[in-house]
Amino acid sequence: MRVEQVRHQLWLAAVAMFMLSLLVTAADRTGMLSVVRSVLHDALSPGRLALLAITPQSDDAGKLVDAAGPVKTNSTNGLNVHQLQTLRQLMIENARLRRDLKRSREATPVAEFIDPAASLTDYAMIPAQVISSSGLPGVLRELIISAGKSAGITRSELVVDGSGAVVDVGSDAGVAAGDRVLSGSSVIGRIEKTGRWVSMVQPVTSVDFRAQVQLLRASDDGLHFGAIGMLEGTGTSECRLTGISYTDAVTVGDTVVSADINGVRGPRLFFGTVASAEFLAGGQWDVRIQPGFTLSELDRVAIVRMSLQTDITAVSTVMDSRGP
Amino acid sequence: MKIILTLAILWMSIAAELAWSGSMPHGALVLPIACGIMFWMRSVTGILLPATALLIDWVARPGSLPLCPMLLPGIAACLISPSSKPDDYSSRRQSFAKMLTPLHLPLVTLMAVSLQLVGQLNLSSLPAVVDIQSAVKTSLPSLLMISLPISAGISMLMRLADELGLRRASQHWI
Repeated sequence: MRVEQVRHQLWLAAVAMFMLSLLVTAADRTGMLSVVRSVLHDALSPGRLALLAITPQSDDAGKLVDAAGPVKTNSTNGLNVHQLQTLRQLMIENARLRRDLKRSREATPVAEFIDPAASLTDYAMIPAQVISSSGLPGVLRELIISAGKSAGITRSELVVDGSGAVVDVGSDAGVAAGDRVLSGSSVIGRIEKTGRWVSMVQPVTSVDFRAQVQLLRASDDGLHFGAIGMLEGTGTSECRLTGISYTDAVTVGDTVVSADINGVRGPRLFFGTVASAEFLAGGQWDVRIQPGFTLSELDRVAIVRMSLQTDITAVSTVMDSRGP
Repeated sequence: MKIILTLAILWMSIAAELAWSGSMPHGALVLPIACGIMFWMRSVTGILLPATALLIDWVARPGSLPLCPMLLPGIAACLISPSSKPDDYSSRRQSFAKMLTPLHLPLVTLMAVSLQLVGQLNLSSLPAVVDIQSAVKTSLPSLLMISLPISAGISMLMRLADELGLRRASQHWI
């Protein structure tokens, strides 16, 4: 009798879990679990952070420096031809990287000079790790990242893939066709909700996502900024571009970059490319944008934080020293 | 006390997967531990707690369908529910099913891993054979490489606990 009772209880528990799982799936489909999800991640974060704290962090830069040490010492003892060739290639690559860095440093003040307001605002990239992403494969519904209020993250900040900000320079600044002007950060979405240790990201493909963007076309004469419009998510893998006048030119393959960041002019961030552009009978453009990020590569992201430089005296001194 | 310890183990295993999400595949740690707890406790609580943890894990990191919390409790109930037929101790021969008992946990873990992979496929339409093949080729080996040794370890630990009499209290019907 006791055995039968236990068996019934076990089966009852299994059926109850099946029903509960069905209910939770239905709740997830209707979007009712968004709040619960961030609360759950916050509840799991103390354990996650404790484990990360005790895990030895891999320092790639340190390893590279350490790895370079033995190579140098061994060179006196005699390296084989292959090792010497590798060493020479590394030295050439190092020199090339130094040159690129120098050029980049020279280009940034140029961009600030073109847009004087840029010197009043400061943009920082806060790195974060993607903890989980939801949605069916191909369509990102929401993303949870490992940075929250404790890292100073606030709502509506842009989340990007990649660490490099895009410098706002065009043909006027001597950039020729073929030069890589847009590089680094492509926008994934914006912070929708922040927890203590985690934040929820609303992807650019979400129905509620809106951002002011500008078209950018590369031609033989250089880069040309085009029409300004509003990028809207559609809930599918593509976005829609609205607000484009019928007199403006739109071409498939045009690059879509940010016109501003939360209303303030900042670095140009990559949103995607024009996948299709059809001129409708009503005299309107139906422009579809393919977002620039790849779902499979989303493991580390960065949050673009804008802050106002309060030390105005220091800023004006810097501007004066640069001259007209 | 036992329930609190179980909850702590499940919470830490999910937290560990989240912490090392870059290197550890989803479910590699949680699935064998959840299955292990089901077989260790062999009770209603032992089924409800890990299944709830798996459901929470799905809510935190959703896929297409929560197949593990849906079906694993049923599979576990099949295997751990007590038999109404008394064992025939007069003949020393063991039944084939009884001989496979130590393999139950790794087998259930294998099923859980398979369910996890199927649950992550896009089930809104019939998944293409290529998708299933790529999921099996890329995710299954890495998942099994971690989960099966853990499962085997828990299985041996259970056997050791049985020998030492540490699991008698939970087996009321035996």
